[in-house]
Amino acid sequence: MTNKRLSVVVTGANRGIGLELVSQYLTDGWQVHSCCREPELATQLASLASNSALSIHQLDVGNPDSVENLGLALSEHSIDLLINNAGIYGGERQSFGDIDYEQWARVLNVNTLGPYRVSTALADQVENSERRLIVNVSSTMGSIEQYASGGHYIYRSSKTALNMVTVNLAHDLRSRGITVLSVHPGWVRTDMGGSSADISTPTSATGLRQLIDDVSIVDSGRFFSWDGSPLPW
Amino acid sequence: MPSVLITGASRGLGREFARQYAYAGWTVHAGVRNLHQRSAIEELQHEQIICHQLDVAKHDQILSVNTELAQEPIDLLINNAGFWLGKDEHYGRCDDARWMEEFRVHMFGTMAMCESFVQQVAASKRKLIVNISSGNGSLALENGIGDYPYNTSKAGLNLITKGLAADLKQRGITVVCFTPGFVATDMSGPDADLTPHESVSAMRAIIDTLGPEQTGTFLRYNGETVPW
Repeated sequence: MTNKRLSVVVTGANRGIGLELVSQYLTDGWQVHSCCREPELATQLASLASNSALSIHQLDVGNPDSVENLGLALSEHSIDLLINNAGIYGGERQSFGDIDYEQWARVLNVNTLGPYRVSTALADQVENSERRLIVNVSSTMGSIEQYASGGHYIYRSSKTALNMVTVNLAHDLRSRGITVLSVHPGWVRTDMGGSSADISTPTSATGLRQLIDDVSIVDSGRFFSWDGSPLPW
Repeated sequence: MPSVLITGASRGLGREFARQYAYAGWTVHAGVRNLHQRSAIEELQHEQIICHQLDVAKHDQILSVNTELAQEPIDLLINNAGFWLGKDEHYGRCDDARWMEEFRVHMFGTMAMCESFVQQVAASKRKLIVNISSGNGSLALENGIGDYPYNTSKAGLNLITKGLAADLKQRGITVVCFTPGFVATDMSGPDADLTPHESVSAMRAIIDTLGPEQTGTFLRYNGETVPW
């Protein structure tokens, strides 16, 4: 064991699973770089800021300049774990016959290109760390195998495409010792998941942290549920 | 006779589909991106082939072809239009705008064609939609790995195929996606395994046998199932 504090970058850290992961990693003694679009509105995140291990960064993963700025801000840090959690659902018009194509482009830019951008911007810092992990927060809604009901085309396709980003990044970063995963956080009681969802955010985040502790490079390019079980593409 | 609407019909697999269905006696509606490009259209000269100006990334063009064909049952819609950006779109070098263009053609174009022509397909006898995907869109196979825009847009197309299969089941429409194999076209270059004639002949034989039991599947040109 090294005495050096482990560090994590969490995108979309102002609420939901992102916020819970920030909180739990802080409790665990990690250095946490939290990122969100509007830090001035992130009151819950700000309430954790008395902990000197937390830094807050403005980041819009849909904006290449914003991602580049984050890379510059963190250029001197090593990053053990990058959690690409930022994502959007894309509104109601996702059904056959009523697809909002401009919204679709926007969702793909954030949910699919966003994690690719942040991963490439921070890959050097991840490579220079002890753990060398990139975790893309996907969803079983992106599983083609499990897609039996139709609808939700925008969100689902963005997560399928994100899973393909995971597979490609795993391949491209393997020689640098970096493990890349897609994870399904569960159907979580968040703003996106709604109040009737299956599990609480602490349950999901605890499960994800355990999974993240357990994986190694042989798992790179795979898709796991929050409880550690493998998922089909 | 049955009728087929094919996107991206001016060259490669699309042109071969048009040629073979025309010679088999089908009415062929060939969507081409540039109706004024004589070389492409001359290749398609056959009394059974009707060419239409159709860039699937342009919704107004889809709408206009749909208006022309409003009363025509379409037995088979082949969403074939697609492109490949080339070898530059790899790690650290992907261009955002070009990546989004792959999404617009492969995913949005296919969805917009299906949304637009669903009535004509539902009004036909065969009721088939075939999306031309790629083995590079398989998450499990990891073919052609490293090409982020192409691989992600084809994986997304496969997801769309599965969703369409569920959404259009009640209307009796069968939707599948194909990997056509590694075919010698302008896109893939000369090092390929199959000629367009071989690939399209094989896919036509499979398409002839398709019914509701196959809906939502990912098939190789020879009918084998491909993993997602």
